[in-house]
Amino acid sequence: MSAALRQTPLHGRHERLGARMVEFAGWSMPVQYDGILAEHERTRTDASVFDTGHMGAFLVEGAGALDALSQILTADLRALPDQRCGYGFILNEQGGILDDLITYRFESGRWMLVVNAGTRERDGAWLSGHLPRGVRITDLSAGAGKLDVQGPRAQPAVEAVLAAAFGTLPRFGFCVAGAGRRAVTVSRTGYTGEDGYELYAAHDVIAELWDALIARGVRPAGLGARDTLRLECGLPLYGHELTEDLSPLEANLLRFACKEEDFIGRAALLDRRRRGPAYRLTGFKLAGRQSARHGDRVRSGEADVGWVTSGSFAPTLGVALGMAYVPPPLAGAGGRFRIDTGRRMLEAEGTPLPFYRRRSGGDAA
Amino acid sequence: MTPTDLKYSKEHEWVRVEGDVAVIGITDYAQKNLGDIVFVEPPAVGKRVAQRGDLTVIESVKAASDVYAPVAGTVLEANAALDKAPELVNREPYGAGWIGRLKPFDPSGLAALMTAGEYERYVEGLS
Repeated sequence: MSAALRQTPLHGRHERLGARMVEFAGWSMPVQYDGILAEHERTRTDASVFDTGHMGAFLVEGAGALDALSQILTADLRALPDQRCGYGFILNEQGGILDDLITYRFESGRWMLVVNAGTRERDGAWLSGHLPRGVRITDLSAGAGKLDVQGPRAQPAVEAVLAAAFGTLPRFGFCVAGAGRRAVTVSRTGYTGEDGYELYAAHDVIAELWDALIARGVRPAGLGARDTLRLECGLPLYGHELTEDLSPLEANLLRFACKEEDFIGRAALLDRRRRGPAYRLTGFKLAGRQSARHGDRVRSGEADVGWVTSGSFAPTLGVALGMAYVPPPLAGAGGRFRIDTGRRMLEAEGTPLPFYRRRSGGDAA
Repeated sequence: MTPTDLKYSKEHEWVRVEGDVAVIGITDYAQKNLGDIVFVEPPAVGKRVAQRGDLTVIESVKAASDVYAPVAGTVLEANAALDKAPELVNREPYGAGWIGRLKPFDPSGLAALMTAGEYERYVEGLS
């Protein structure tokens, strides 16, 4: 493990728990503790805690912040009430996706933007370059930690360690528990398809919360389970389903970029929509347990027609599945194509997303 | 402990000689590195493989890996129990998680493989 990798405030705890650490976007992160299948299953049926301290976060504030951010982000920020967060994109002028992010609207005109680890630096430069004087941006990534508590038993665990009630917090709502440098921002969000919370706080506070959750019997889960959980729910991952060469149109996520006011990339996006996309993101299922993987080519007849963005054995569903960009006629139910894994040719069936939806209420993002 | 009655390849396969049959599997080090195994393609019965040739493919949640034949031979049997329970490779890599049996096989290839002690030192050198 290279010494140059960045570490979250929980790094030593992961090592003591026997996690297998891997490099992810320049960070040393736990990919698994006792096993991806067990961690995945616990998140679906009980609760898990994830260290997500590698993600980037920016604070944007000052007069004009709303107007400026509304130009840069596709999310409809004017329609977002205080203490709510919303999903959206940063697009380039061509409508290509620079990042996907969640924007938190605090009271008194402050905004927190939570972005991907691998795109944080580029986002920072893009935001700084597009924000007018008078709107301040602060990179919170160095001083703040983050952890996610996810699963049907997440709520009692988070309520116990923060000594507060979150039952009335709506999906994509957030609040601040505690005050001063011990403040914890708690949002009812996540990346697993289960009910759950994302917690942001200073390093030492995050470490205390982690310890309290573990002491309460909440087991840790790593990036491996995080990936299989989000894949079953059809949630996109930047660098896989979302890239600079693709727009929300191809990704079937236009509903997060459809506000009436202008924003960077909007004209290009409307133009792409008029012309129609060459590719569409589709879910697919494979006949057996053998998986397709990111980068595998999609074939129809002899022709190379697309590529796999994510693929894995899906622990909850017990089959191999994934997502791929294919020509629109092959996308969704009824699509039939083959995937060349380099080792084998696999038969795939187009499938609407998500593959998995939890039984009890709420939206899966 | 690494069983002393087996011979080991640098690619982390083992072979156990049972008369004129060579039983093949992957090592404890290999299964730990792969993580949860969810699929083992049954080696095709009758397939002839060279030493270090492609025997089959094994899949964990995260990745697919090739399994090479530690000795040359002809596939006699695949471990049918792995169809329903691929996790046997994680639980008992040297026992119930065996992958295939070769007959005939070429015993001259055994000399190029490692003993348990040699394999343990080889694995230590990797970490």
